[in-house]
Amino acid sequence: MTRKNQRTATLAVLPMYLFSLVFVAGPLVYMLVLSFMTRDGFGFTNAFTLENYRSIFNEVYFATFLESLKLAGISTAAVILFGYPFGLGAALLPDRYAHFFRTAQMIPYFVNSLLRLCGWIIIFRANGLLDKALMALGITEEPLKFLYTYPAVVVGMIYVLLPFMFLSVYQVAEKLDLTLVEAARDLGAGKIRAFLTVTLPLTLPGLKTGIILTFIPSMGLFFIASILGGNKVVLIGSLIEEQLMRAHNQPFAAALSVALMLLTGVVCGLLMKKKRGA
Amino acid sequence: MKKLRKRALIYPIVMTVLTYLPILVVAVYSFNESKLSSKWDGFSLKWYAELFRDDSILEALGNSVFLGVTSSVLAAVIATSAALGMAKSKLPLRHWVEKLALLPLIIPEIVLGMVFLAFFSLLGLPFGMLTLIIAHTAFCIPYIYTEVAAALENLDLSAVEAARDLGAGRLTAFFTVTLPMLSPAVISGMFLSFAMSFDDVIISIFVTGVSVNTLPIKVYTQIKTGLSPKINALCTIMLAVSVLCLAIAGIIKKIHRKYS
Amino acid sequence: MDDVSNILEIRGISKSFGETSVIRNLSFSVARGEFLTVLGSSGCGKTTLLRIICGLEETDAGQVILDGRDVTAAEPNLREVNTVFQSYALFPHMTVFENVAYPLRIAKTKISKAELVRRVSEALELVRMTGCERRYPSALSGGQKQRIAIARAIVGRPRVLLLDEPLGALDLNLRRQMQTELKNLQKSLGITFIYITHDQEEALNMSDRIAVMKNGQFLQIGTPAEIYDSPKTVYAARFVGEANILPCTFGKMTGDAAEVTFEGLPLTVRRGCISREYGNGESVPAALRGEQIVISDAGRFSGVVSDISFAGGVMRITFGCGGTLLTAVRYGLDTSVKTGDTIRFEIPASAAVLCENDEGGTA
Repeated sequence: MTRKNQRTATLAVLPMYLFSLVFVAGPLVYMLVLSFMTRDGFGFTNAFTLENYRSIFNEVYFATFLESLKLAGISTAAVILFGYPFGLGAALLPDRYAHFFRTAQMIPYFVNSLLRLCGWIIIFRANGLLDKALMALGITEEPLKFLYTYPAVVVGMIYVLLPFMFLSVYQVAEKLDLTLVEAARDLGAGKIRAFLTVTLPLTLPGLKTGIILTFIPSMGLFFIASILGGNKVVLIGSLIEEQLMRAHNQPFAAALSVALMLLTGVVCGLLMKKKRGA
Repeated sequence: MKKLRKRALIYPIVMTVLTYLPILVVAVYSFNESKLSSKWDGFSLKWYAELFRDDSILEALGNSVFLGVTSSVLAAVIATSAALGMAKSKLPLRHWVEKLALLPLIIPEIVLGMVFLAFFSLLGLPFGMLTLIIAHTAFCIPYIYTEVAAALENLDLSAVEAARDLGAGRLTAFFTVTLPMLSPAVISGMFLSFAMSFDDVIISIFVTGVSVNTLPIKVYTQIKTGLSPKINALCTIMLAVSVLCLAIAGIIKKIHRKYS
Repeated sequence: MDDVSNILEIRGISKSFGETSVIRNLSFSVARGEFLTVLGSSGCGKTTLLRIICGLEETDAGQVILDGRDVTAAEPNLREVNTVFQSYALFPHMTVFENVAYPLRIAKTKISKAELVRRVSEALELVRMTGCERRYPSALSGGQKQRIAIARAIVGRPRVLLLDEPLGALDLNLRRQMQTELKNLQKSLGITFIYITHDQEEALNMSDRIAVMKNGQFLQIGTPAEIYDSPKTVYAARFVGEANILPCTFGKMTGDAAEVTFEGLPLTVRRGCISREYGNGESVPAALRGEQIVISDAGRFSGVVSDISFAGGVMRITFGCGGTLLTAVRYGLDTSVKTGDTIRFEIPASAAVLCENDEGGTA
């Protein structure tokens, strides 16, 4: 009976087992191998080299890395700033309202982020809705020409990534036992102290998930920069795409990918580690 | 316990308005007679008409739907059966493979796209629908697996035992009790992965061939060259479809919550 | 040749989980139509025993004979034994009707739709839950879930019904009411019930026989009266009804009685289930029910009252006598006794009964 069970179980696991070994482990191992190969015209040879990794520290490429990190950092910080109070605030509302706001953030999660960005183009473009509104209110005299600027890219990043933060925080905050906060207040903690000592620590797991879900994609979301930044902002994502699709330099693209994974891995690792300590 | 203070509503409302503002703008402008988005020339449905005359967009839509459905169904079958068997199987390294399967969840999309491109060209696979399906299935599996594994953990095993005790064979118990009890998780996982597949630009750009376009790829290439009211119309339709999907999923969940 | 009057025979079953031995070489039989209660504290192996009988757990050794057929290796679905689970285990995705109809629908022998509806209604009627057919389990109270679980378990007319602490999650009033209902249900159905509980009151109220279980073995199996009157061991005496354990010194056996001394005074006690002989002067425990202690100035023994409690028409007077704390039970309120008083009391001849010391130390 038990042996039969075990055979069925093994058969059930097998498809994912094989699929993951071939199509997840395979490509990743291949990427690692590829990153040590030598470029040769449009192809590459098997000769081992560290040149690809050395190239990353080349001024231009390294600057791109820093630029990506900066944008991801700024975006993640902004998403925390806007998303955490949003998720927490919505979760603490009476159920009817809380569910409304949750659904309202689920929809963008499901809608293609590209499509959602189109609206910002209409709003941000020169003489677009933003300019018209600002001029009508007398705040500015001339069109701001906000589109294709760095802040426009940041707004786009926040906009696309906010639902991830909202939902992560909301999920944890929803289960928050409010009597704990009341207990803290009762025991003499002020509002801010009660937040810092009870609410924040208890919702921290949600915040951390949110950061991971925001930071990882923000390193790779090159299309936001290209749509709202007009290719002025070159990110690591665009660099990988360029090396792969136009320069046909697979080994270098692989090395860049390995570096990017290490970077995001380190950031996530740090967050997870703190989580365990908490 | 949770009391409503009016002031607490302000911030969530502002954020929600900002969330929907661009979507609303797109929807409004999709009905604009004028080709220029800087002025309003009156209500018109002509961009929608034009959209449905554009074969390349219809084809891209078809591809996207086919891709989304195929990869989420494939992922659902693979991930659900694996989640069910994981506890009892004795395959070597199975817990490592479990982590491996979840890896696409935390790898930047750009890296996934890159490694798939390189790996598929190594294998000599023809770029197109096949490679798209493999790549999308790979990143859909984690969504369904995590949902189903979590549901399995909360599953009341005594209900399955009760079924066996009341005369159900292994298969009968599985199909009449285990699977129906897991189905909300499987379905919501499938919806999530369909949305992810339908949304994906980055990975798709790398693994698609010259002949197969998905809707996001089409939109991306068009936006890069400039926005057209046609794209606005397309966005509006896709938004409507997404809201509809979510509404259906919501109804399914509500019905399930009623008896769980 | 199997004894046909027994519906179930358990022969020498044993079960270990890893290093822990949960059931040790256990044998017993259950008569057709009997209500047997397995009584024991948590961890005594009673749930494992039940799971072995219904087939959800495999036994390491021994046999399970159901109505003359060896079902030791049979899958749970192929045994005509149904279980009412402690957690009810109702299917959350099915209505009450679908839950109760489940065993009929998946049965090998198909029945007509009309017959199915009739039998489900009949089962629901038996548990007095008619009218809830279309509700989902989540919309039911604990007591209602309980009744549905019972209806679902009896609808397929099993030969034996196993009940795993079915009333454990209910409040006291409902529990009392359900005890009566279960007993009546068992009588009207004529199905054999094997009932598992840690509640001695339930066991005493409902059972034809009680098996007191400890460490994977039955200490004693017998009618409620037998176990109450003549507990075989100190554990059984304390677990079934309240009992005072008197540390006595053995004198001699005289037929069904024994002469012992308690607190230096001679006392006649019943021999009970004790078959072995004791040596003169050996210390031996005797069980004494609280209501048999007679508080009277004419009593030979004396004690100092340390606590008095009064609950539900029953008064409990706890007093120290030598090194032993005894509790006397009186019905109705008696205000003449106060804490700190020295009282005199008597233990009538043959009120106490000898039992085996299975609790270690000097009881």
